[in-house]
Amino acid sequence: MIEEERVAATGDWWGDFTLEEERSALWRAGTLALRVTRQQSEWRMAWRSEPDEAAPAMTATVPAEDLDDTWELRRYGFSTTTAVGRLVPALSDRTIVSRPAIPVAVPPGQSIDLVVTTPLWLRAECEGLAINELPTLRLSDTWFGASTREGQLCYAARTHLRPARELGEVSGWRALTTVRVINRAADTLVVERLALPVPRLALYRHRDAFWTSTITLERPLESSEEAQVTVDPAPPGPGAVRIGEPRETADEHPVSRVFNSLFG
Amino acid sequence: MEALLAELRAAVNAELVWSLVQALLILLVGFVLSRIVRSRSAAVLQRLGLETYSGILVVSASWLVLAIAVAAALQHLGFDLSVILGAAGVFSVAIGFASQTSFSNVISGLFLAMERSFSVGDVIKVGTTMGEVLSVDLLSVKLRTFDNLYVRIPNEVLVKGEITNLSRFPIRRADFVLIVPYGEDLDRVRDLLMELAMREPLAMVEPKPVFQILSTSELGVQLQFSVWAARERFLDMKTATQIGIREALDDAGIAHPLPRRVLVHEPPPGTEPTAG
Repeated sequence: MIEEERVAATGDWWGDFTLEEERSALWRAGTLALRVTRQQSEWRMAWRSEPDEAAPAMTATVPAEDLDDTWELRRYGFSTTTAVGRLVPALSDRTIVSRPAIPVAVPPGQSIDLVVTTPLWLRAECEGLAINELPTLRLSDTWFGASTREGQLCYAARTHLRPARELGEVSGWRALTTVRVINRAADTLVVERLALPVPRLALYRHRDAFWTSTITLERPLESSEEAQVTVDPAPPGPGAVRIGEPRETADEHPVSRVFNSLFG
Repeated sequence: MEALLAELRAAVNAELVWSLVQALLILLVGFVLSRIVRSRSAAVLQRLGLETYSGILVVSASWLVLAIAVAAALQHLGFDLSVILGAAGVFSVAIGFASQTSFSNVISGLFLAMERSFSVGDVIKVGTTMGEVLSVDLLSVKLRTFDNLYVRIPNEVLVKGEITNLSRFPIRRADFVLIVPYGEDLDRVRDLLMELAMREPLAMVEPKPVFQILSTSELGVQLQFSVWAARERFLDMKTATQIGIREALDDAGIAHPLPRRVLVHEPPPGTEPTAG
């Protein structure tokens, strides 16, 4: 069975793939177009950003060919190459600051489960080594901090903060994160922007979608107290399969600090 | 009598030799301490975040220890330090006059160490010179400019003048000044520029880009569009945005006004204008 037939049969565009010498495999996901070529002693990766977003798919394997300069190209030398490579989804390498299209208000004493989506990264592994990582959507830089002197470099994204129950169709190149917001304070909490510490989250495959660890954000009764932010170590649902580890080790304090700014 | 004198001389000599040995021991201890200060203080200064200035501080501290040891050894040998210091005072005045600039640079170096305005690896601008700091030494700071020149700037100049550290803060703002002709819809220009900043991934979403009108001139309205970027990607963002602004304005048909001169040819009085 050739590779695209296998993909068509299983629907999985990610995971192991096989590639004969002098042939290329093509993928589309989000705005990313990716082309992996196998040669006798090197793997080549070429990628470019397309104007339109597309559902993730492995489109074809084709004979290797010269590419025009709209592609960014990189070569990885090995003493010899084997036919099996791997393309795995991963989460962003920086915190993603999401601004909801419409701010969400959480009245005093209420809690709500919101779902935030963030673009996936694709990691190519050849000969057992991770050789490159690319985002499925190129995000703009942004700064998240109290001042221009202190803070952290993040990615910016616009998102729909949807209640978990109203979750509609989600692009296959995005990961979903459930954020449980608990407002114990006496006034309404308006979520105008959300800094999602994505590098601290694990990635799961669940209900035919990519999910991350669940985050709980608890606003205390007293405004002087720090917000409690916890990353749930449990899977996001029964039957979820863990497919990616957090990039950074769990450290409660910086996460709390990130979310504290939310209330500012 | 002679025997007594010989005995006395021997005793005096023995005492002198013993004092000399003790003075040498003091010097030796001072020397060892000075070496320890020199070798260990680098690690201590690194812990305190002062490694940039370790050249100045380590040398100053080890010299101080050695000077104290020499003074103690001389005092032990019975020298009157006040006389020596007096003589040294006169001598140091002479030396001081001769090496006034060098001492000024050493003291300026200590002030720089206290202020910690920059570190090795930072990019700084002093006067018209901009470059990466290679080292901060006893008398001067060494820079490598972007056209790969080695520049030595005396510490005194740095203390007296203005230093701009381009690496201190994690994000920077680029200001683009442009002139649009009178009569152009400025709201449209602002929307174009804001849209451009949103499209450019290296331009930061927050802090938000700023659009402001600076002044009016004979050419048109002078505007400033300011965009933030991460320090490491600042130049890439600046170049991409500069090109983007030009293209966006060209695509929108907004011309960059060029200086215009209207020449009016008037025939001399009493002559008729000729056709053609």
